[in-house]
Amino acid sequence: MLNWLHPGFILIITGILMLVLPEKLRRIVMIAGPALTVAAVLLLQEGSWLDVEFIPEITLKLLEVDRLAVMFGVIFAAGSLIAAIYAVNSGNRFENAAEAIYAGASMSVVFAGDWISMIFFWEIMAIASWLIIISSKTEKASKAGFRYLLVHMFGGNMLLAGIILKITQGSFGIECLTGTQDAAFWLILIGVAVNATIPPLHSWIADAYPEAPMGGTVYMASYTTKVGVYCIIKLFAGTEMLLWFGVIMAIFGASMALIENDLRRLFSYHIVSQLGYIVAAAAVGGAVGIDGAAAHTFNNILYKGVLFMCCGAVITATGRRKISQLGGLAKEMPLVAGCFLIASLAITGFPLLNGFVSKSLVMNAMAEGGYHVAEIFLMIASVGTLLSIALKVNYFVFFGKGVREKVEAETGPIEIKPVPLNMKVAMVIGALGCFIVGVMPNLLYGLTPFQSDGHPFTADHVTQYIQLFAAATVAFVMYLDHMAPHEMLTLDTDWLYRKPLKYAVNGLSAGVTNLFNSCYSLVCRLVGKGNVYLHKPSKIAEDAGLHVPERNHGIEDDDVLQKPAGMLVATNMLIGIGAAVIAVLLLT
Amino acid sequence: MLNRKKVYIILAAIMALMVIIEVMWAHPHHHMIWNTVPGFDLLIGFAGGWALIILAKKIMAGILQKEEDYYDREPLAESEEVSNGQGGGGHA
Repeated sequence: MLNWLHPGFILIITGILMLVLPEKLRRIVMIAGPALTVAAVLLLQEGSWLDVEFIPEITLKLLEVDRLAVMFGVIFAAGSLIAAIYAVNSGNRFENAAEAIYAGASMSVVFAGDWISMIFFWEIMAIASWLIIISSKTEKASKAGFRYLLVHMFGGNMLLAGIILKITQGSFGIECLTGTQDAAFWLILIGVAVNATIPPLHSWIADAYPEAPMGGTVYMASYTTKVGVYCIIKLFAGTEMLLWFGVIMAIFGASMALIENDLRRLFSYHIVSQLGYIVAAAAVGGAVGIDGAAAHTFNNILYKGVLFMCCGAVITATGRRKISQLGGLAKEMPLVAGCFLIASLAITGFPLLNGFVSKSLVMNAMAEGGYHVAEIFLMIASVGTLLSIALKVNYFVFFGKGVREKVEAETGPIEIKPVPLNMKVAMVIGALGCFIVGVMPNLLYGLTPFQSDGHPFTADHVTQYIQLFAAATVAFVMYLDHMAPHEMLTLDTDWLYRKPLKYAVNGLSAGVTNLFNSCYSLVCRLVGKGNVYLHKPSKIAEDAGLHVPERNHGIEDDDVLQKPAGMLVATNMLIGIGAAVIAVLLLT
Repeated sequence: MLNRKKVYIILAAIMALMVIIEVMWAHPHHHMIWNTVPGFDLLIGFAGGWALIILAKKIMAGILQKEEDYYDREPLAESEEVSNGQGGGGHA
């Protein structure tokens, strides 16, 4: 069989091809590459297939296949196909190439079996995603992209340092680090935490994602963070400390989304919130925990992809990205609104949609591990998801009565351009995926590493979620008048490097510049004063009040005659100072 | 605007139905209070919803929300430009 066919490499080659192919052929390859990738993933068999000797003693395992990697491979490939369909008509060749290479590098991290190939593709992923962000070609995007790159280079370097430690200890293959707690453990954890948006290293996501191009955001929502949680599951499963980070992420992300006004920033915070569930489940570990984390990641790529696609469609159609400037779009954009409704209910965990299926596993992991407080907090985070996406965005952007009139009175009529067909197709495929997994959960459970069954459709599970949501909806309706988002900017931990650190660095550099400038002007003044006397030594006597006989009478500029003498004195002085310095150095 | 009365009635009907189903058919797998007491999830949903609304809209919004041009305003940069003629090359 075709076991040597590396799905990640197919995508990377697709990306390189897109740099050289002509426009029409490029659009075909852009879809064909990911389609081939899907096939390649489905053909994979467990084992290690592409072993390349790097240097003697170190073998690169480029394609190490286990059940967890296959599960991530399947959804990464499907995600890249959907995202390619969505982005096929937009972007120039560089953007499209960066997108494909980015997806391929992410896939290659997942299939990497040793530390060196992992860090190699990890860094390619960071660079490619940075290229996607800056291909928006706006000033904001290039600034946000720069910050994104800095944060990810920091994470990458931490990871690299940890990996170097690991390799010097003689461990080349990727292995679970839970319970080791040495320097390598912490360094790798910090590196991975940047990608998995574990606070306080999470704020790059809401900073950078909203500035990327529409198609690019759909790619980015699927990979960087998911590779992060893949590494959390693979390297840190069962690390109990991470449980509370996960719970904080789930609650914090949902709360930030409640006050956020920019659509894509809101969804970025929901990535943080959803990753919270995944990190918490991975931290509990065990078969159910790992399966729950993996299954939730799988579903997250599906519904988060649809949410970002719908959001991109809304922004493309209206040219507006703030909730406070949108309203009542369901009438003109019924398909987008429908897909969004499905995906937003899926992310909330509504029965018959995919989020419910994997949340059941996550909740079972909490309950079976005896983490009941965490369980309650995750339930409340589900309520937060309902309030901030399923109710807030659906009401204020798509379905709310009277919202449109109010907005148009303030900002002028909302002009709606038609949404391209390929975007609609991609959205519908994604939304169908959410629905199919939701009604046939065994498809998903069969893919998980340990094939745990979440038993989602029992009366207690279903009634539990519907009760939670119905009661929270009452709270939402009670507070509806004050629920509309304000046109404000919400600060996050990126404030630390955008304000105080920036001023510290600027202040330091301004201070150094000032010091240098004042030294320089002091020297200039001294030299300037000295120059006068050197050019015309007789001026010393004049300034001292002595009588100087005018020997050079008749020559207007007697500097010309006096200068050689002055310069001789100056040269002698310099030589004397130099000799003194050398003498002091030699003597001490 | 939204017809609240209608929404409340629909929600109340859904909640009542769910509690009835829970009482009749649910066999909880776990034994915490929210698994065993029918309708306890309603309390979590309602209280949790309000807790989040207050946390986000009252506490976090008050601390974290600034004007939209917050990061573009640079009060320090201008005074620096004035204070040294040759400066400016130094800061990034």
